Order: sequence, then structure tokens, then C-alpha cells
Amino acid sequence: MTSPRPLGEFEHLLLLAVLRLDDGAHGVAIRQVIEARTGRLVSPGAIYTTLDRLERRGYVSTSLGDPTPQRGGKRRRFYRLRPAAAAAIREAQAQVASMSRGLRPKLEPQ
Amino acid sequence: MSHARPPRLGRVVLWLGLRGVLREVITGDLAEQWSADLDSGLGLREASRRYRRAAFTSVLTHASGRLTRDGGFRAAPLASGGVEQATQAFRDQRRLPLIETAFHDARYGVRLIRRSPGFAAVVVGMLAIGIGANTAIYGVTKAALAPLPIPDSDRVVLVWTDNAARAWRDLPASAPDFTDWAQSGIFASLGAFDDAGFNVRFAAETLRVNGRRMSAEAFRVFGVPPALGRWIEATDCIAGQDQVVILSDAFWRARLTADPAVIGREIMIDGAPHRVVGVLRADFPKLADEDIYTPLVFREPALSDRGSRNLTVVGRLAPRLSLESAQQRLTDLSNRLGREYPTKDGGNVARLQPIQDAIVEDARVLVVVLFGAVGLMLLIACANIGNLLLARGAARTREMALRTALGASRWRLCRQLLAEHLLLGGMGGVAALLPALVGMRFIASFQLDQLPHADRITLNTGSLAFNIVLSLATSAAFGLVPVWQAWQADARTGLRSTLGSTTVAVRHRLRGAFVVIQFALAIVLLVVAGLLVRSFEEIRKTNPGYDPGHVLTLRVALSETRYASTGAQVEFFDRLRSRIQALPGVIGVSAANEIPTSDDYHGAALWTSDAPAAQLSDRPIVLYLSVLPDYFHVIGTSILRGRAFADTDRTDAPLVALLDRSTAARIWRGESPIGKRFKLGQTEPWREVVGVVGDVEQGVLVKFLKGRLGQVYLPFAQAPKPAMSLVVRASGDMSTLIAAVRDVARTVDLDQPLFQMQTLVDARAAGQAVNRLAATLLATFASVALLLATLGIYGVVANTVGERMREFGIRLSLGAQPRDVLNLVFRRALFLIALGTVVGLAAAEGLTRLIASLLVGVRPTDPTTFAAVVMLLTSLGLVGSYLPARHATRADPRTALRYD
Repeated sequence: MTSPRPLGEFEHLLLLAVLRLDDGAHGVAIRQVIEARTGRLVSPGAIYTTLDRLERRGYVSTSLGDPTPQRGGKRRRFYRLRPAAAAAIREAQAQVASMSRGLRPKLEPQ
Repeated sequence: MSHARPPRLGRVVLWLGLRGVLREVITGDLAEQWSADLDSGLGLREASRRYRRAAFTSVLTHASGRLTRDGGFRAAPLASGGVEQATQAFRDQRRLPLIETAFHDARYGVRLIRRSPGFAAVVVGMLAIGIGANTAIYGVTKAALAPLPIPDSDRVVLVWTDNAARAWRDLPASAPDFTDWAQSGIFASLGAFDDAGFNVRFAAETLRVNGRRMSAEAFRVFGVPPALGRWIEATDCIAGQDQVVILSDAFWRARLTADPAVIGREIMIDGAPHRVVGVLRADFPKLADEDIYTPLVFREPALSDRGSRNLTVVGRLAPRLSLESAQQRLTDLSNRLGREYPTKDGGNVARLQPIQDAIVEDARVLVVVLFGAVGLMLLIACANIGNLLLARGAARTREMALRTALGASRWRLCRQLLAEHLLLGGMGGVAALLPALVGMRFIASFQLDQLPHADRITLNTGSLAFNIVLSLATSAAFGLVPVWQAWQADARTGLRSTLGSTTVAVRHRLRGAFVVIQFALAIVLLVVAGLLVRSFEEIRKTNPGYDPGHVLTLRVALSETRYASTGAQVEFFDRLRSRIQALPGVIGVSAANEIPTSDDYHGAALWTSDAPAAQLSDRPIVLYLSVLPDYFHVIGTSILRGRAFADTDRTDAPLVALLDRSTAARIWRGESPIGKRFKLGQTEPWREVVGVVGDVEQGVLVKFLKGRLGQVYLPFAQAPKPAMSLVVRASGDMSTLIAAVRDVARTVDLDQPLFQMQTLVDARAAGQAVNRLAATLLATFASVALLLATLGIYGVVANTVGERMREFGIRLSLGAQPRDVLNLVFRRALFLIALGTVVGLAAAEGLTRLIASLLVGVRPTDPTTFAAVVMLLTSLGLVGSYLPARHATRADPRTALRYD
């Protein structure tokens, strides 16, 4: 089910975040882990639409958790990677690695 | 912290913008983030701000993300197992959330607008002008009619005196009247004040400050507590203890740097130290531009003189006494006083006026006229836009029919159109803000007494809300017709390439109706504007009886403690005059206690020696002025008979006077008045007429209240006044003269400030500010209306011609002359113009009565104005229809027939 289109940069980041969070990957946690590791504050709207898209492309599956009081009795939606995602991530990283091979000296600060 | 909930606005946005599981999950996530933010010590404000922002972006990115992807329809999400999730997913997509469809409609609207930017620009431009003008007038009205910040202001009244037999209205009260009223039990408290100017000394300069002498009760009636210190108390209103002063908030800020320790400080007022005992709040009701308040002390002879009226009386009605019964009791009291003191109080009746009415009364006519004008203008703009949309609707008939045929519901099409119109209306509303702001500034710059609180005229939340409501209402109004058209759209007839004749006929009738409405409204607006402009011209053009060019006027009010005697006052003005006379370029210097444009008037009944009138009311009322020698020469009024005043007409010389021409003619008919005698009141001395001068135009307000009154002049030395207006005729630059005069005055007495320095031309213009404002605004509005109406008829005729080109081609090919075709088109246009004109004239005839009080020298039904307006509008209408009509005669039979 691999899509012919390669992963976008933000999609890539999101998939890594979901992977990193294992069973605990839900909206708030994903946002926090991205912020903690990259320093980027992303809007919740962007996260949901992108995850929605990734879900339709078969990279993630979702399930609903239990309601908790600090969420005002609302349930969480948890995301998990599907096998296709791992392949896509590997593919994306291989592409980046291949494109950057041998370029390190040129990227060093002068 | 745990009881707090995320901000309501954000929750509402989420609720409206999302559905089903998505709503639940996102709402939950944001709530969690919110409480995490709070726990991290972010503060409620910042956390809530982030929540709201996240809510908006979630909904917007969500909506737009889906729309860009698949045009508003979402593939079913891949539910990972479970019947419940599948059901939920189905529910999710069954109904598109409100915001999402609205978003869809809006995007479609934007696309349409971008496809025809010219059309959108025209519509938005018309709306910007129409809505902008309305918003500006709304802001002005709101500021002018803002309720006074007085507790229970509906219980507070002003007390005026009317005399029906003598046609006097709104007279101020005398001290004995005031005392009688105060003891009547009609009022819980009754206060009095009079206007006064004060010379206030600061370190380096002396300023003239408008103020008010207030009785202690007057503050109690207003009931607005002071910001600092105290009110004036009864103990201050006793001679000898009255050297205290209360400052307005503005004065305190501007002159005393808002010093909080100002209470107890001494300020030199009219040469005597006054102790500051209070500072008023910024919202203390000012009835004019007064800045300082001193105690009102009743002194003889005013205390017992019923004829000396200079008090404005304000009272708070006694508890449980209605305005009607209070008025009834006051009328009874007045009648009793009238019988008791027939010479001074006979026929006088005190009248209560709720204080709020007093403020509204001044502004009412102006506000009604301005609102009427901008309202009409907006209606014309709406009719015009409706017309444009109608034409465009015709062009889109096929599109609509096609979409209906493909399964779009009528409701959907109408909603689409509505969204488009709302978008246009919204853009118009936003674009209107600039004209609104400019308009408000413009109107505020006139500083009219009729529109107090000019400083409060701003684009505030109130006027913004008005702008929004108006934009929505307007778009709904002009959008009605196209929506109705879309509702009627029939897939079968619409898809035919040529339209059925009934559809076309209905549309033509509608467009015709729009043109008629526009012309009628434009006529009304033009007539009103024309009358105001003519009236203004009338005031401006009439020969004022003096030559205001190159005359500088400035006012001096001597401190009466320092210049107590007549001799001292005369001596001061003599000295000032000779010093100014010595300045380069000065041709002549003189003074009068009021300049001709002044709205302050001093009137008296004229008693003549040879006509013993039995009744006081039979004696003519004349205005009298004290003037220095040379006055008529300086202002350029000619002496018609006899002589002018001379330096020899001093205190010890025989009393003399001059009359103006109309007074002389009225009283002594054909006889020469020279040598005749008169007096200004029973106890006044006799004066001998030594000359007659030309009539001088009086101030606008005087004319307005009393009509033209007779004018009597007395020599200053024989009727001294502490406050005089100098008039200086000079050649050369007026602004250098102002500085030189100011310097000279300092050398005469530093403590006597000069104020109201202006040229006589400016003084005349200032008196006409209301008329000028009304005339300028109305003329602008009317020009816009004229333009719109012309465009309207042009559009309609052009459109008709466009649609009938084929028919004209056939007619021409069958032998019709171009003239016949021209007639055919023209006849209809003429009919529409004529109908609009007739309707408009009828409406204007009825409406112009409303502005009668703003007109001077022009009747509300002035035939010249009506005729001119009809001529102007019809000729422009004919030009507007001739251009497209001529196009019809060029119809080429060959191209016309090749149409299909």
C-alpha cells in the first residue's frame, strides 16, 4: 500500500513522533514531543489534518481511548504506525542520506 | 484552577466547526493542553489565548484542508475495527458542519468576485460610500445624543420663561423668580447658574477662561460627585466668602498638570486670589465649554429686580411629582406672580424642559436631515447595486439553470448567492471604515454647539457594530432580487438560448422600478441639498451692511474689581485704542460691546416721548450696543443722516444715540428722527437721536430667534460695558497684526487678556457653521446620488439595448429609420425618468417642511430650486440614456441576425 508520493517533511516528523511515543501517541503528546525535540510549535489543526491524511494513505491507524476528567470527559484518539509507515520512513531517510552523501564538507560553517 | 473551564469562545468555535469524533478528540486535546499550560504556570490569560487560537486554526485548517483536497466531501475514514467507530465515522460525514459549508460558499464567492473584479469594485465602492456616510453620521449622532451622566437624569429639568403675548421663548430667570420657584415645593432642589468669563492669571500670561457661577444647589441637582475635593457649598455663596473655585477635569489636566495636590492652592482670578476647593469628574455634564466654576452670590439690585434675567435654572423634581403636575403647579405660580408684578412678570409663564430634551432639541433637526440624506444615498446605492446584480443575474440564468438541472437544490443556489452578497457587503463595510473616519473628522472639525461632545465622535464599538449590521442588512437588501430570481429559475426555460418573453418582461419591469426609485430618491436629496445651499448662499451673499474684509476683531473683558469705575474703563480703552492705532498698517480702531456676528444680544423696550404706549407689550424691542467713536467708520457702515459719535459724547455731555435706518423708519415713519428722544426702559434716562446709520446684519442666532430687530447705538462713555470687542481695520497681513496687537495689550495691562481674536470674515463664517456643514454635506451626498442615478439609467438602457440588438437589427433591415429605433429606446427611458421625477417631487414637497428651520431666506417649496433640480436630473438622465440608445441605431442587420 505504499503510496508513490514520498513523505513530506512534516509527515515525516509526525510519523517519527508517533513511533517514538509507542502506545501513548495522541494529539497533545505528539505536539509536545515535536516541540521538545525540534523547538517547533505546531498548530493542532496542522497535526490533525496531516494525521488524517496519513491515516488515509495507510500509514497510521487510530483508536479511541477512555474519557479522562482533565479533558472534560472527552476521549483521546491514539495513533499507531502501520507496517507501511516504517517502509516509508526508511525510504525517506535513505533518500535524504543518499542526497547528502559527500556533501558534509560543503555544509560545514566557514 | 481545576474549576476553570477553557474559554467559551474557543469551545463554541470547536462545537460549530467540527462534528462527531473529531470534535470530541480535538476538544479534549485542546482542553488537556490548556490545563497543562495552566499547570506550567503560563497564566489563565495566555493559556486561554492559546486555546482560542488553537481552536480557530484547528477548525480552519481542518475545513480548508478537506476542501482543497476534495471540494468539500471527505472519503470515509478507515476505521480500524469496531462497529461503533464505523457508525461514528458515518455520522461524521452525513452532515457537513456549518462552518465548513459556509467556508465552501465563501470560497466560491471569492472565485466569482475574482473572475469579475470590475463589477466587484463598483459594488464595493458604492457600498463604501453609502455605508461609510451612514456610519459617520451614526457616530456623530451617538456622540451628540449621548445621555448625560447624571443620576436619575429624567428627574432633572431646566426652567425657562416664555411669554406668548410677546413671542419670547426660553428666557433666563431673574433672582426673585428663582427664589419664588425654590420655595414652591415643586423641586427637591433647585439651582441656578450664569455664564461668565474669567481672567485667570498664570505665571507668564493671563488667559480668558469660560466659566459658570453656580449656586450650591446646582451641583446637588446634577449629583455628580467631584473627583477631588468638594462641591460649592451654601457657605461659599455669601459675599466675602466666595473666593473659591472648582475646576473642570480638562482644565485641571491642561493647565495644572493634573496635580493631585491642587486642592487648597490659590489661583488669581480677575485679580483676586481664589482657593481651589474641588476638581470635577471628566463626565460632569458641561452645557457649553465652561472650565471653571465659582459660587453664585445674589447681590442687590439683581436680588430684587424681576426684570434682570440672567440665570439659567436647573432643578430636580420633588419625589413622586410627575413632570405634568409639576408643570401645572409652576404655571399656576407664574400666573399668580404675573398678577402680582404685572410690569415685569405679566404674561410670563415658566416652562419645565427635561434636561435631556434640551440637548436633543438642538441637534434634532440637523441629525434628522443628515441621517435622512445618508439613508437616501444608501438606498440609491442599493437600488443601483440591485440593478447591476439583476443584469448579471440575467447573464447567469444559464449557469443557474444548468446547476439546477444537475441536481443542485434551490436552497443551495440561493445560499450560494447570499454568501456572495454577504461577501460583497462585508467588503463594502470594511472599505467604508475609511470614508466613515474621514467623515467623522470632517463633521467634528466644525465644533458645532448643536453637536456637543465633538471629542467623543470616534469610530468606537458602537459605530463599528452599526457598520457591521448595516453591511449585512444592505447585502440582504440588494441581494433580495437575484435570490428571488434564482428561486424562480426553471431548468427548462433557462437552458434555452433565448429567454421566454415573460421572464424578460418581469426583469425589465423590475429594473425599470429600480430606476424610478433612484430618480425619486435623488430628486428628494437634490431638492433638500439645493435648498440648503441656496439658503447658505443667501446668508453669505446678502450685504451685511458693513465691510468685514480686513477687519480684525478681538475681545477684552476688564476685571470689574480692577476697573470698577466708568472713568477707569473709558480710560483703559482710550489707552489701548491709541496704542493700537499707532501700529503700522492700522487704518482705524474702535470697539463695540458685541460685534455684529455675535449671538449675544442685549434688548430693551423702546419708549418714545411722543407716542405714549399704554401696554408694555406694544413697545418695540430693540437691541442696543455701546460703541466707541469711529465705530461705523472702521466697520464700514455709512452714516445716513446726522452725525456719528464723537469724543465729546462723554459721561457729562447730553445723552445721545444713533438708530439704524429700519428702526428710524418704523418709529418716526417719514419724519426725520434727528432731535427726537427715546429711552430704553421706564426708569432709564432720555436720550436724543443725533444720527441714523445703515442697517447692519445681525447674528444668525438673533435673526433665527427674533427675526430682524431694530438696532440702537449708544456712545460707550455714556453706557460703559466692561467687556468690549475691538475692531481694527488694517492693510497688510492679519496674522502679523494679531501678534503686534497682543504685544501692545500686554504693555497696557498684563492682567487683561485678549481673546476671540479673529477676522470679521471668519467671525461671520463661524456664525454660519451649521448652515455651512449642512449645505456642504448635503451637496456632497446629492452629487453622489446624482451620479448613481445617472449610472443607473445608463446601465438599464445599455442593458436593454444589448438584449434587443437583434430586434433592432431586424427592424432596421426591414426599413426602419435609425431615428425610429432611437425613439423606441428613448421613449421608455423618458417614461422612467418622468415617473421617477413625479414621485420624487411629491415626496420632496412633503419632506422639505422638516428642514424649514434650517432655511434662511428661502421657502421650503422654493420653485426655483425645484425647477433647477428637475432640469438637472432630467438632462443628466437623458444624456445617460442617449449614449446607449445611439448605440442601438448602429445595429447591423447582418451581425444581428447571425446571432444564433
